[in-house]
Amino acid sequence: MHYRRKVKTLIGEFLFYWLALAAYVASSLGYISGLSFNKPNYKKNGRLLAMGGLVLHSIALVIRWYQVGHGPYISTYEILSSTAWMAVLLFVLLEWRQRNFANLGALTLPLAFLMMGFALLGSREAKSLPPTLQSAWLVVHVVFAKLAVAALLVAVAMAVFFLLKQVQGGGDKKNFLARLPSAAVLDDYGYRLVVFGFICLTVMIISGAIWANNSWGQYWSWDSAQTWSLVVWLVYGLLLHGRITFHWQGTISAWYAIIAFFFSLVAFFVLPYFIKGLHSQYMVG
Amino acid sequence: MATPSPPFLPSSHPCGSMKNTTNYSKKIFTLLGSLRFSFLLLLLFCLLVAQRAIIAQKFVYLEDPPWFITALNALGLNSPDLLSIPMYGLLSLLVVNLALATISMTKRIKAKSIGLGGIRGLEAVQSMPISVDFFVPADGDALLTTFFEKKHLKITRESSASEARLYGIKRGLGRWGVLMFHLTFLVILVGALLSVLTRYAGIFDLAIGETFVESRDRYESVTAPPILFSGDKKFHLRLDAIDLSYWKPGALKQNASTVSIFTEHGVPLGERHLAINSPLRVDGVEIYQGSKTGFIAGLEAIDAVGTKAQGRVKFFLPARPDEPMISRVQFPGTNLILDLELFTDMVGTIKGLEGLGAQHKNKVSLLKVTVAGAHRIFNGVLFGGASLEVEGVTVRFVSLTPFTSFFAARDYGVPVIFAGFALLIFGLIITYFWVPEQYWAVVRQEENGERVVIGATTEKFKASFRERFEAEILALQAKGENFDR
Repeated sequence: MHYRRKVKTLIGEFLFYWLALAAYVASSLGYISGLSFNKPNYKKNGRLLAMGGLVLHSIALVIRWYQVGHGPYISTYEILSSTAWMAVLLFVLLEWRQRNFANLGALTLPLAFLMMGFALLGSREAKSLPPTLQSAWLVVHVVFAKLAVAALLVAVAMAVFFLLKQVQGGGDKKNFLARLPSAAVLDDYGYRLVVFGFICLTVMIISGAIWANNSWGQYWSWDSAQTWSLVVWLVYGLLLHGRITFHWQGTISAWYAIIAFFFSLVAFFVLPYFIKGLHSQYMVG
Repeated sequence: MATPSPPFLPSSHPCGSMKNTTNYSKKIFTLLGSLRFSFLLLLLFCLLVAQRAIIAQKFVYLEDPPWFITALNALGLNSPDLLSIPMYGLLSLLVVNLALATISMTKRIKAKSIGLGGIRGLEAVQSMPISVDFFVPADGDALLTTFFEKKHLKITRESSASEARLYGIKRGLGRWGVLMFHLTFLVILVGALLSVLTRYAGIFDLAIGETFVESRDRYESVTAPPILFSGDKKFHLRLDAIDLSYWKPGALKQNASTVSIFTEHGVPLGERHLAINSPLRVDGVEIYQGSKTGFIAGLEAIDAVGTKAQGRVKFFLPARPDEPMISRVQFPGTNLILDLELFTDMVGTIKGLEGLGAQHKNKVSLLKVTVAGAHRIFNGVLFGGASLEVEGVTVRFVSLTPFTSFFAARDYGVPVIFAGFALLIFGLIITYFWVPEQYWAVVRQEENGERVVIGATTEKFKASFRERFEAEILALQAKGENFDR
């Protein structure tokens, strides 16, 4: 009886996951076609599908949480799935605040569903939480890590559109870029998102240090993941510093945001596959 | 008539050299406290930390490293010692930069506050980068007051018969965010320095019923004595019980202990529970539950001439239930190395593992003994309390007790560092999300109505501020057309 319930729950989680994935794919199509053919209705459908996908995705995550007894922190599957959820949530909130950012869905939603696709390559096996991970600081650490990645991802979308707008202009009404906010506003919101991501990154590192001190009696041990996260923090810190010191705005700032994001993806998600460390044992697999 | 130019003072002249020295020192101070210099320092710090990260991940020890690691190793990036000197040098320069930047920043913020605080005239407001100029039929002053009030601005007003001037500011304190943010780095660096000066840490094991007295010589391994406050605390800590729990066999849920604390003079301070992620603080020393638990076997060896040697052999509980508990021992003064495997019903005396022990009263323990070496020889089993002759040495299995490991650390820098962390987050939020906004408005009575000029400024996110400002002004203009008080 218990086994049958477990199987049902498992199927339920996976079913909602796939439904969410499908909704994100459809939403992406809505946003892309809305942007390409200037059809506000398509974009509206895209928004509804993104919100529906978010609800389905939330249900999948809650079922998984209930099933495995902990939040989506361990294994590639859980981490990528929850990061995609956070990115879509952030985008939906941003779009709700600023309707003229709807077109960014054409980039954010595809990235989110690709992330969910990659998540499926990892193992879906439920892992039990070891004692060191049983800490309230873990929740703070993980939530802010996801917020940071999500914010920096949306900042990349802003940067890409900014650069496209710079290259292709956007004066022509038929050009989809003309329907985006002005380049200066895109740059400004990209900057805001980088700042928000940077603050989340700071909270992530600090909560990790406090947690490490609570678990191992040392707030900083030059562990590879810890050190790489400091490098990523400094890389973004340099961008913020450069904006003040050298007035890095526009093109240089956009390129920097894109390169820094891919650098942080490598530091957080690729390097753990090569190294054995405190994080890699939970992130890989 | 041309003004005579000041006479040239050669550098050898006392006044000339003083002036040059003052100029040079001013230039040096300006450079050391400049934002460009802090950018350069941050960049170098980033590179050094990246190098440290590469070393930390032990790529260098990979048998078959990826090509980029081979390339990095070839550049000599695999030595942590290479980093210490430039890292400390850089941090010292960063401290100087932060201190000087703080002084200049304070001056700049004060100057800016004075410069922007005064109410400007119509022309000055008109010439601001973000400004708007329009006419309303009447009641411009009231319209602007409502507009400013709705924006929750702190309003200052000046009025005359023909003109009204308004100045509004919100989040004025946000100007100090940058300063606070920079000061937090100093707090963190002071905390790190305190850590370096006062930190020590050690590991110790306790069998059930054993007592640890906090002093350097009682640690199994301990870091070098700290530069400051190196005295022993000498409190006593007795292990009363080990408490393990598992999600499923092989998957540890929690590793915990019950301990009793006593003062240096043996006065009991009570019983405490200790677990992973739930450390215990005694007299400024944090005691952490270690991850190793198992058994300590007391062994005694007697050679042919009757010389006795005693040893404690540790057996760790395996991570997986099907793995053996093995250990190796060499008795001092002998060449005898024994490989031992422990089988014991005493596992059942540890909380959480009761099911693994036999239910009868007398717990059975035995050691499977093998002589280590080129030709491994199985020598037999050794029951608790019994002895066995191995290569002319009699080995006796004296005792067996469950043990667990602990980690102790004393670091007076931690509270300062954590306070610095909290201030850092606070400073960042203030700097970037508590951005001051200032508005100036002038209403002037003219022939064809009331002329309204509004100017605004902010320190960050100017493009989106301008967009918002323009939208608000459009709404205000529409309201002004039909404004009726």
